[in-house]
Amino acid sequence: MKFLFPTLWILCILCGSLGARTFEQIRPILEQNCLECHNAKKKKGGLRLETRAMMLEGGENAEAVVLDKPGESEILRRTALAPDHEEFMPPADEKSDREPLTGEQIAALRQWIEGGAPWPEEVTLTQKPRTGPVEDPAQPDPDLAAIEVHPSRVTLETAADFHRVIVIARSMDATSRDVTAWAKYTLEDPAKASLDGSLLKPRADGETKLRIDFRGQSAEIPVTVKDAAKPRPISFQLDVMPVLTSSGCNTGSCHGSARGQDGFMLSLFGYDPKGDHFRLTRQLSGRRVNLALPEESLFVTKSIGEVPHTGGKLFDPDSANARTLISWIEAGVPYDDESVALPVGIDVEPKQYVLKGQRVKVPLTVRARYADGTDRDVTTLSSFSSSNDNSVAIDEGSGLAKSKNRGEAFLLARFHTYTEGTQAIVIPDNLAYERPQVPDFNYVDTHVHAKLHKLRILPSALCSDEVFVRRVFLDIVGVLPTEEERKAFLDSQEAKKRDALIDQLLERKEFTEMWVMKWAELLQIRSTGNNANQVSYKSALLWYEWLRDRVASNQPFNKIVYELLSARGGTFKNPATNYFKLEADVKKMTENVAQVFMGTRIQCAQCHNHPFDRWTMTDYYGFASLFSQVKRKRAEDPSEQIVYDGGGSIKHPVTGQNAPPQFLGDDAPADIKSKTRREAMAEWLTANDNPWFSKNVVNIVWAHFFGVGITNPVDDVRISNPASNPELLAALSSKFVEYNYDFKKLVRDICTSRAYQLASQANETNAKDLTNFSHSLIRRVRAEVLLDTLAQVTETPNKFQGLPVGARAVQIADGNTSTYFLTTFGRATRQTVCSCEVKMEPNLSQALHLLNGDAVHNRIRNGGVIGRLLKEKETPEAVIDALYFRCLSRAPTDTEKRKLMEGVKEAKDDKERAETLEDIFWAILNSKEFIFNH
Amino acid sequence: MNTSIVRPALWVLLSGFLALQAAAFTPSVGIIQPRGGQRGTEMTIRLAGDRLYEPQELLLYKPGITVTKLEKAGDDHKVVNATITIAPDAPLGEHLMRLRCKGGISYQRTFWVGQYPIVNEKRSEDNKRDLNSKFDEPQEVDLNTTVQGVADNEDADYYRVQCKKGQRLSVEVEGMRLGRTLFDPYVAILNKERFELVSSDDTALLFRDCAASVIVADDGPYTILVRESSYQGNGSCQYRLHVGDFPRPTAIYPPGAKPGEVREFTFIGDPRGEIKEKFSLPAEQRNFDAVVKNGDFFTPSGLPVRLSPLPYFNEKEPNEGSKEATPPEAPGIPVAFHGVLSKKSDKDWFQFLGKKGRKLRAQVYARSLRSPLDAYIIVRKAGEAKQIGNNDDAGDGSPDSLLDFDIPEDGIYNINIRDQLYGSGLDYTYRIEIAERGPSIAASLPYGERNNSQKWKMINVPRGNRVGRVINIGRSNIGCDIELETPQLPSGIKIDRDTIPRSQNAFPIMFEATAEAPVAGGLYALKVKDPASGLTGPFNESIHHIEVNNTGTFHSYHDKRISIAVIEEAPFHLDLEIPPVPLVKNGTMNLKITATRHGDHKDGITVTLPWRPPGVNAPSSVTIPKDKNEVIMGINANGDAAVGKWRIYVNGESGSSKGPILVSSPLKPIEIAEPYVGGKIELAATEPGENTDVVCKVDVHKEFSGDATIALSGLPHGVKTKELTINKDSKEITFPLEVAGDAKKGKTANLFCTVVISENGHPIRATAFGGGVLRIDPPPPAPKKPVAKKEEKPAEKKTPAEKRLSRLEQLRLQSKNNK
Repeated sequence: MKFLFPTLWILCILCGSLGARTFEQIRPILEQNCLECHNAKKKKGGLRLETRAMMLEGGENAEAVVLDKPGESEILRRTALAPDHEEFMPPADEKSDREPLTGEQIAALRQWIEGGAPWPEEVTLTQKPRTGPVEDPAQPDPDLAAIEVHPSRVTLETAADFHRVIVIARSMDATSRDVTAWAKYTLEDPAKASLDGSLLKPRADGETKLRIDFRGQSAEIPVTVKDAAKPRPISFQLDVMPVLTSSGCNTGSCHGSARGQDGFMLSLFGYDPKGDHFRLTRQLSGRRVNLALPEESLFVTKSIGEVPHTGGKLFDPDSANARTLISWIEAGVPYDDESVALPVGIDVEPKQYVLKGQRVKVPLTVRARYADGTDRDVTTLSSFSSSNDNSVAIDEGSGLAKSKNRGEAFLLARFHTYTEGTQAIVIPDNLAYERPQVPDFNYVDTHVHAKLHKLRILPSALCSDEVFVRRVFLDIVGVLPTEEERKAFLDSQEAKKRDALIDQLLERKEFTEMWVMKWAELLQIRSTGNNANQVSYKSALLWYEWLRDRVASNQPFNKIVYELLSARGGTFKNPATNYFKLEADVKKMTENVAQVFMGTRIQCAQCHNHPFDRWTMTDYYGFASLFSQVKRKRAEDPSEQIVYDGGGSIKHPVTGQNAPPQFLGDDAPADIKSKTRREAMAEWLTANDNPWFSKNVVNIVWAHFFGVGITNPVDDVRISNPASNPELLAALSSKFVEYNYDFKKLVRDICTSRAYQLASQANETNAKDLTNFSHSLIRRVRAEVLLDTLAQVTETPNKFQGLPVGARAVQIADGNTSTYFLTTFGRATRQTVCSCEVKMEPNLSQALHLLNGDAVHNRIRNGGVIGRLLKEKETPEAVIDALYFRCLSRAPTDTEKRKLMEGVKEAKDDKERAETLEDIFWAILNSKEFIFNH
Repeated sequence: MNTSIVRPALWVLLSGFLALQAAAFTPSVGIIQPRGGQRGTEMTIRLAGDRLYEPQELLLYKPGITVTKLEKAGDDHKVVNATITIAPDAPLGEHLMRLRCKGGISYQRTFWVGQYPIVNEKRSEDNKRDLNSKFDEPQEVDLNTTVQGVADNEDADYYRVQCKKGQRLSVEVEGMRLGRTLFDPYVAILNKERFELVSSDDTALLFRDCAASVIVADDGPYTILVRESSYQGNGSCQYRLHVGDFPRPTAIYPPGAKPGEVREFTFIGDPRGEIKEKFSLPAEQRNFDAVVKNGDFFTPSGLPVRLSPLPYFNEKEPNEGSKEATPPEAPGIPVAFHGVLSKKSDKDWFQFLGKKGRKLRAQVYARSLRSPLDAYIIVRKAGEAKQIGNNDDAGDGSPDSLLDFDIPEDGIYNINIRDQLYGSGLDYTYRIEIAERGPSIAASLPYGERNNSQKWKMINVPRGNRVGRVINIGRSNIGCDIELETPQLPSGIKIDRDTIPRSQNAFPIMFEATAEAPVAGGLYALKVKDPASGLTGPFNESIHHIEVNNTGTFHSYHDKRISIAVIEEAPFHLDLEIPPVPLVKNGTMNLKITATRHGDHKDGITVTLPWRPPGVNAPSSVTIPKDKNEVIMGINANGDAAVGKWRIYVNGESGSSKGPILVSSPLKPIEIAEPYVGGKIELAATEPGENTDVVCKVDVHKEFSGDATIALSGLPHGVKTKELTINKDSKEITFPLEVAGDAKKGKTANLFCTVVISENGHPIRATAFGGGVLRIDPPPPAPKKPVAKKEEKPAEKKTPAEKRLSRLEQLRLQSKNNK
């Protein structure tokens, strides 16, 4: 525990001057451990510890400090008890997570009391968070790499503004700790601003600097003060709405529910401030706000718990929140005029934490930026959440995060409609770790290894050639290597034989077919019926062929998507238009495009601002507006429709106005001059600088080879579900753009990386890692490929509708065509765009189908493989070897072979021997090893 | 009429009874095989179906085919062989045929005339599979051949032809057009390396059928692939593949001309480039099929040219705006314009003179002339941005535009045309006609059944019997009475009909054949006429050879002739007896239908009332049971029925061992009249167990003799009353109600009175009035001191009970009693 050394060191120095304990040395012990309860409000046990006088006054039962008999001081008695004793202080409490005082702290207290408990008269203690051990800012720390101050600049506008500065120390090993409480702050010009701890408040207009010193490192941030004398008028949207949101009033389980709660409804997460203002002030005149006696307003008294409130007490009567509400009512419950500057974004800092060991507490600071260029510290008005409570927990209200178990979490802060996050990694504090010397095969490994280093995880070893050949065949071409192909690879003496094999496989037709199938799933290519407004089998087939031709001719993927999304014409003549025939609902179409091509789900924002993402209703309807002009008309052929662009728009349900077309995530109206809205949208989406498109595609491709996406699930990109390795995603994405969207090259990069070629055997450090690609994940072979490999090894060709005998399941054009086998093994029905349609989870009916169904048994019989092998190979041993090579791409182990041969030897004649071998074949096909890619 | 009719044998008039023994009704022809023939040859075609007794003739819709022999094949009357001669100049393409037997005319079936020798697709000996399903094992065919083949399920058919370098190789498939089943063919020409040089699935020119043409690069074999476009063929998916070096243009320009004109046309879209050819156009106003040839060989199907007497102007590029509009001098109305949207995103502008108040129609002929253009037109006054109107599609399933507009003031007007999707091409030809919206009328036979457009399209009239039809009337820009004109009919047939009033869009007519009428038939052009203005219109026939439920039609045939025949005597006559009293509004009436059976006909007869006067309802059908000769059909008139005198008839359909036959009763008069009696039911209220009265005010609108019975209906459970009588002088009538102790409590609305008046011994039944309400209230709580009050009661006694108490008086009395 590295923190311990400086602490002990300080304590040693302190111990050296016995009895010389100053108040300043004791102060943090009291402030961090005692003041939380023994304050003016709580007065636990009748004791207050804010001033020396109060301390000496003692509590209801005993004297806290007995100056003349220090040994009888209750404070010393109780802190020294066993932690499970009921009188032990400070008491354990899950919420505050207090911890026992250390022996040094107790000793220091004793010495201080023995020394007469010096405490300057004028000093009143306040509670301080216990974020770390006491540190002396003046004492240099050789382990300290740097200190970071957040925010990096402070602007104070109007008299009421304030900014709290947080100071994070980064050690040489990249771990961080919060030293806000210990750092030394110096204002260059104290006339400009005041400093209370690390809280800056304005004094006079002008500019100054805040200098922060901590243990040999220093930092300086500029402080600008404007309109220091000017009060800031209270604003409903800027002040009151954040209180409602941060206090949880407008959540779905409270007043944000569609029907409201207890007769009072607010818009969910505040999507409709104007409506909320109406409901607060005018819906029930005189009930919710009392202009004559603002403090008596039900709106206030309910939230401070003065009158019964189903939601309980939300904040204290003297809290900033309550003051905000009251001053708004005092001001006459105004609604903002048009000129009010709304937030345009938030910054959550710091951007990354690496926390060492458990119970390390670190803060987040949230700064909102407004349209008029001003900013505010909205940390107290934000709500916080963690994506992984098990690693890092965060206090919903204060944003104070605390490390728990080894792992990674994404800490989110939400203010107004904005959500931003911070990555937090927890590593054990006593880890014997040394960065492993593994080579980077290409840039993929650089990023994977960097992330693993952050997590102190060691990657698994490379997989064997034997494993590799099976894995890469299944992944790239969806078939098993033949015995000859396997042998050729294993025997090759070429230095880069793995890369050579990958190149060879990428040129095979099956590679194209695999990806046509995957994109066809996302485009939902399927027939829905033969009526005029349904997608006929012919349409589905033409559409599939359209896609196949483009993928086969290596058309850049963004061009394919552009063609699809801007397609117009007859559904037979230009089959891509079927995309718009399949889904006629503007909103669903919008959502589908966002989910498939941007990987983000904007469905929530149809009715309210997205609670866990940045999407607002304005974003949603602005984007939907780009699809609102798709028109369909009957073609001359009654089963064909013509898709074209006409007029029309979509109404924003809150404003009742037509939503101006807007690209998703852009604030400015979309440029739709001299093109159709869909063309504009398709152009924006597939442009090189689109922030979503290429990342989404590479993530889908990546997920195919690793079983999990860098963002997972691949179609749920959201601020609250960030990429596990954003740098890797960005690197792949920019390479993909550089390759002109040729995913063959992308696949090559992925497959030639060391990360892809790792063994599935985990080590101690990476056994639990499922998201950072530190070892190969064992994946069930997907339905189509499994059926194809079954057909391959049993030499029984498949027959599907509309395809010749021997066609592969991967080639099935229509999502609606399925077989029992494919359905059981989770072939996508292409009914929705969800990536969850392809079911990869093994289940009982799959096992039963393989065990008892006709899939395996009949195929073994019909294929006659055993008979042929017996003729060719002569001995049963050789047949078993051949079966293993054929199905599992490896030779049987000695034990396997011995046991199998025992069975074979029991056979009385050739017929029985053949039957036994058939049983062995059956058993191999039912083995997990056959069904899984490892 | 260019119908070639052959009567191979003189038929002998047999006695009705004997005829019944021999003939069978409703002959059905399922298919004609082979599906086509080569012109200039004689061949035998096989018509297969059912009940093909005593075939008489083939009814043909086009000239060029003559029948030299017509005979049954086998004794099961399922096949008839016809030996036909196809004239060397017979029109190429579709020839429609019907088979007329003594028992009736069959459905219309198609037969295709081509110019090449026909070969069949090679099939295995058991005929279960074809032998050309692999690229490497194609069927060798010569150039300029027609192959008749089948696209089976997941079947691909390969044909190989030897070509010379630079030669044109063209293919065209007749698949959907053969009119047999929903079959969407696909054709491709492949080179030796299996590379598709050209392929075709659907074409604007041929709809779902396909054609392709290519100039071959090398000497050697080329392979033609034919399959169902999505591999979903079956044994019925027959096709005729024409392979040759014929030209295959995709458009003709100009797409319109005047009848009788001699002029040069340009064929566009052939791989060899434009072909110019001069034609002498026929004098009739219709579509002319222009075919072009290479040596001896024509394109297998022609390109339609619209012949119309309108003056026309061909576009002069540039004409992208009002100032450049074609022609330089704005012509008057009517006028036609021709053009091609050849440039990228092309728009063509035309101008014409408009006179204030004129009601005009702009009609585009593009897809209807098989141009790929999906027209979109806008009409503006010249120099103004404001549109007078625009149109994309006419709304009848065709992508051609149609715009009705009125001219607001004298001046020059512009019409511009573009492709709806801003498409263009050298074959994007069009014709726009602008003319005054004139009146037009037409008649047709309605579709008898979903997906069976041919049902009841043949008028098979048994000798000495009759068959009725309800015809549909179409009127456009006119409201008028309509008369049916019959310039020609088979000998011995007359049509009994009334003038069709302007309010009616469907009306019955009756075909009647005398007992002596010879068994004969053919195609007849009937007409409709407005007697006031003299405007006439055709009697159209539209037949959908391929029609898919809920989707639409894929191959149809339209003609202005319907098929009518006198057939052998039917085994029964039908008569309809309508009581000689009016059917009053809200009234009911029983129709009596009697069958006179001949010979041993015993089968049940399904009787329908195909046409009802407005507001009259009847059951969908009633049945004269087997061995019975009579049935009653109850009909009723609603309150909005059209008062007046009409004629109705019933159809009787009987399935006998000789096939189904339909005959009709004569048209019989029926009068719909206002009701004789009206009135009002007053509200009544009582308690369970307390009898009460229901009083009705009676209004006699029309005097009647004697007493009429009146009954109150709709009473709740536990309440009874009796039937009463009224006469022409009745003003009020009171129904005494017997209310049982367990009568259903609550409000019962909709009490009504039915009146039966007797006139000439026939009842006139009607619901005379309704809307009555009876309330049965729960009994009030028992009086508190019943004993003490008892003294008072005798004093009240029964006041003059004669006077009926009003509801108010009843309530007063009740409250008094309760005190």
